Amino acid sequence: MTAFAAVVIPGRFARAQDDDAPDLTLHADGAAKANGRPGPAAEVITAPRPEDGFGRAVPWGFYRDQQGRVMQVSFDFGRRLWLGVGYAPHRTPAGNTEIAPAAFDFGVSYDSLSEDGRTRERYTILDGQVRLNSFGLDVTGFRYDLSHRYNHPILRITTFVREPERHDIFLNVGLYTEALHYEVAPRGIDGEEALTLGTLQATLDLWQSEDLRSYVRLRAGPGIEMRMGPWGDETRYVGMLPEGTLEGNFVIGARAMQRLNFRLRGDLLRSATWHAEPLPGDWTATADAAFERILIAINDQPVSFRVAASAYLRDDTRQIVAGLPSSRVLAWTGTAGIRMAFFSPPVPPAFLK
Amino acid sequence: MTTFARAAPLGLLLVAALCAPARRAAADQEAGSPPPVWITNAAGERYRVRFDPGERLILAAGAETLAGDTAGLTATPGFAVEFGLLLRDERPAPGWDVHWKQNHEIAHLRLHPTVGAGGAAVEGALYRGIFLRQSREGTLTLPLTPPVALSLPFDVGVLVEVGHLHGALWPEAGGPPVDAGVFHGEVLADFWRSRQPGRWLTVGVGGRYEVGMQRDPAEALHLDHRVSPMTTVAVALHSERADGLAAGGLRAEASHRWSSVRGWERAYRVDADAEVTPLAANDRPLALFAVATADTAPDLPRPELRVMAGVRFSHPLRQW
Repeated sequence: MTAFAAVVIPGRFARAQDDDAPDLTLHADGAAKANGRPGPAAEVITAPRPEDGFGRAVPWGFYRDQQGRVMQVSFDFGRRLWLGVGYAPHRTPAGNTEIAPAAFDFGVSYDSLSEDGRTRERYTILDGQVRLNSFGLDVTGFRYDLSHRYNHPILRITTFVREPERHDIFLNVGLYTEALHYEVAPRGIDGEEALTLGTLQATLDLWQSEDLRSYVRLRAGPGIEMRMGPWGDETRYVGMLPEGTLEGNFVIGARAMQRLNFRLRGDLLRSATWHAEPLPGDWTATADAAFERILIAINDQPVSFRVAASAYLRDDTRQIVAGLPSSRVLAWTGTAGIRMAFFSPPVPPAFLK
Repeated sequence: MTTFARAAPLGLLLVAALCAPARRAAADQEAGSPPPVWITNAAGERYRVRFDPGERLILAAGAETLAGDTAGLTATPGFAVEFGLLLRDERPAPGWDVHWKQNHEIAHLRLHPTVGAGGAAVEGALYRGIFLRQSREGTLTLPLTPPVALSLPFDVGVLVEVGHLHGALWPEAGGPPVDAGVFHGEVLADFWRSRQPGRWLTVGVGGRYEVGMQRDPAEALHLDHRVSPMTTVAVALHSERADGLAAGGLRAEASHRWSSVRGWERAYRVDADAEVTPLAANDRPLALFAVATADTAPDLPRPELRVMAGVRFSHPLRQW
């Protein structure tokens, strides 16, 4: 894993900041600016700085070009509000392939790293996608998760073959919770809506980058879901006991301008009613992957290209309406589109450590 | 569109009236210091003469008319109330490089107790925020090595709206529809780039998801999901005097959206608002205001023109 980290986190963050020193090459005066040529660097540096701050050093994550213009060249995928649009071909659970739909996606995320660098908390609000033609909605009201790097091993094994040797085993356990995940027609049944009231899961990080921005982890835990549908006024409650997921998040590239995610999820379902009725089908499996790359920035707000794919196989579509047996369903969605993000600060320099 | 054609001169007049002093004020204030907040008269009495229209609690009452066109505005108006919390950020410190102008509206709603089969209707949003990023110069950055910047003549920003409500408070059997906007986001380009709060001229491209709900006489609930996948274009102009005693805005929006009932369709909306504060009671402004909205969309039986005028009481939250 160390080798992998070395590959995905090269030592250079931005060329202008290789030595951690800002590029102070500025025009000496308005005339130099007007003719588009930089003034002599020494003259600029020794000259008094203008009161408007134009000559100040650029902060981390920014770059000053030869014309003296400052621009942000690093963006944090974990802190942003985004709006996006994309082409989203889709295979419905009923087996129809829709090649015309578009999708509109949105969300807000906020990451924070503790002062000791050992805990990263991630908040996501209103993360969702609306599909049209045909209509589909998948939005999560609130999501919180936490990664922690433990200082002390959970288990110390000492071997006494030859010289005694100590082998530490760390278990980087964290927390994941989600509330108000709303989905329209998750099983391809017209009129059905599913609302996950909440999930509470423990996570086990199999690999973490040093800044905890990238990880591969397992998570598992229970959840409860409400299903409303064409079977009448009755709301059906389904428990996920458990939901298990293997997922990864990688922030990659010399300037951390690319992100790769994947997720493999399986749910074992149980009736969450007081009478614990058996379910005719009791599992679902989902796979997702996405890649996003920042292409340009407009006034320091990044615009990225994103491709994603997801597929699911559900066994819980049997006998949804009494007397109407149905079969296991398979569906997939592909997405290719752009996103514009706002309020995204530079990735802090700790990324390089 | 007849409605809009008739309403256009009225809107332009409103904009012209608001923009003239606003532009003068902008030129003055962007070059000089802001006007005083408190003054003292010859008798030594101190009173407030400057307010922040973006930082206050508001409570308003007035008359509202709903019509299919401007001729219909002569109908007897109904009583309506408005309330909300408006917040905005502090002005940037001198020497700023980049500053986000923020304007928040929280639970800014108008209630029309006399409209609708259920006896009540609502218009407004639970949250609306306009964030305009001001920088000394705009650039389009290509993240090459080294990065390349191309100059842009505008600032960028974003509009976020959650929980927009329009129509009856609850879908009743046989009653009027309820439109619930779940999320609306818009990428903005601000061509005014004013350093003063409350001033912008934006062109926006946005996306929206809303649900139209209506119950038929048999109590069955019909849902109409409407999605605009970044296919809404809007132009907005807003201005206010530096002393906050007059403010106004105009916004026009055209949306090419998809409806789960009717498929692709087009919808148009124009909003205008104006406010003038002629007096203050106990240093709290009492303003005359008017808001107008013109709407046309395939889900409406006919174009709608709503005009409300009345008195707005504000409790200033910024004391300076």
